Amino acid sequence: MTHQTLYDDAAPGTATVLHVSTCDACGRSEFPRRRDCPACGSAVRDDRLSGPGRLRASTAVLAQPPGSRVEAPYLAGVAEFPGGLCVIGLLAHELPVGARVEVVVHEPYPGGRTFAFRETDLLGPPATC
Amino acid sequence: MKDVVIAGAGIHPFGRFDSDYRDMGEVAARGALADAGVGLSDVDIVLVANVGAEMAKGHNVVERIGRTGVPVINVEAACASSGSALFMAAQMVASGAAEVALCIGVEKAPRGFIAASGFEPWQIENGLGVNPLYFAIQAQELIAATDTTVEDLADVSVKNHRHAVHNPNAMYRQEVTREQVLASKAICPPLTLLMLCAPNEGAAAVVLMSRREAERRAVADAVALRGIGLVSRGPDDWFVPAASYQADRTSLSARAAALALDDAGIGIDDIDLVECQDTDAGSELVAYADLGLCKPGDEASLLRSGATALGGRIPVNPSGGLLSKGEPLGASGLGQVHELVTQVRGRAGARQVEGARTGLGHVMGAGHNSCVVVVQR
Ligand SMILES: [Zn+2]
Repeated sequence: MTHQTLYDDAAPGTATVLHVSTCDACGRSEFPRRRDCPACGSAVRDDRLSGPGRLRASTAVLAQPPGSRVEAPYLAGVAEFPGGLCVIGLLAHELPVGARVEVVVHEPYPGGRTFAFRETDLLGPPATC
Repeated sequence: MKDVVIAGAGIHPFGRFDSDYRDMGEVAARGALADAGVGLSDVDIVLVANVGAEMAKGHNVVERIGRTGVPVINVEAACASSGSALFMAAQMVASGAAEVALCIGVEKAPRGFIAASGFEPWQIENGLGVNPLYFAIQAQELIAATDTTVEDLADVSVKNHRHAVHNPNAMYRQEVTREQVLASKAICPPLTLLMLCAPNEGAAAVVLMSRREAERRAVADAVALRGIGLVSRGPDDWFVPAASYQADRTSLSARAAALALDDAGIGIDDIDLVECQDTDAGSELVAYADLGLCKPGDEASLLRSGATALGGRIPVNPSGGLLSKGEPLGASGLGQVHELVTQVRGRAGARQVEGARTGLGHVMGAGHNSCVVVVQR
């Protein structure tokens, strides 16, 4: 799985969207994308999740994990998006639980590229929780 | 589960040892065979739970005991490995495919973070392939949704370490204070080092028999394996290593518990003690509601009431739990069963749960799987 399948690539710091799949039969979205819905087996359509979402958990990794190219300590958390999908990702900066966040292209280590969550003042649909 | 009994149980202490995994597996297996009063030649099938050793690990353990030509099957399901092996062994005995089954769990895990938990490369290289991160998220969600505090998390660890003082098979047998737990090294907030179990080494084993076979052999002190439930991921479950989940998530443990209790034909109120998957302090609290010991939201109240401590209404982890024993992944579930068997036989010494007759064990592992087992004297 390359990062292009996870989000729209762009220069670090640019707002982006997550690539998810959405099932019209049961309403669930999945990240990363799936061929069909793992919950109900129906066909899914490619979808793009832009948020904003609500930060549901905010923590950090303080000891160096095996295989990680990101150097500890670093921030991580969970963003909950409208519709109920919760995605685990890095945080671009320190954020409290409940913060309104968007998805951003992030350089977690020199030359690395992934998505992260950062605070936004954009008003999106109300978060569900 | 009809007419399946645990005829014998054995254990190799959990900790750090110079010995090979074969040595530890052998100690536990010989202990279980001796306790059941049988030899390897009486065994129809051997199931061996292990996560990380090498190819044909179970065969290498059995080779230490004898060459009877018995079928040996290796089972891997992360922290639920030995629950999965026990599930298969129990089904085989219940179905009549085997009269005597030997089930061994063994592990010699390296120190530190557990690697190879099933994360995808993009998660690992970007720092998201970290088990404690998942437990921290779970603990934060519990704190956000209930009145649970960080002090409650610390107190789970304090309780389990107090229990382990009396368990010669535990790795850490010293009491700790709330202050010590809170002041220990932060790993993933709110979790500190002393709120997380340490992957380590050890082994446990049981001999299962049909009740008829146990009676024929006049096995003393057999314990009924009343119920067992094993589940994998359902639509809205979440655990390591999934990168996303639904806001209204469901619980693997709750489904496994419902299956096991239904299989046993009893209710959670009939359970006298619980050994649960306290991979971290938050996981034990989450298990309280998942297993039905309390309503969701009442986890911290149950802990604070003292009900889950030794001497309380429903002691949880009287062995000291994984927080004190450490977690040899492939052996942890059978380690719980060893404790339950010891307890319902009334042989647990200073950590004995008074009047213990029915016990419940619970494991949950990476890759989304959970096993719950109910035993009864
Ligand atoms: Zn669906």
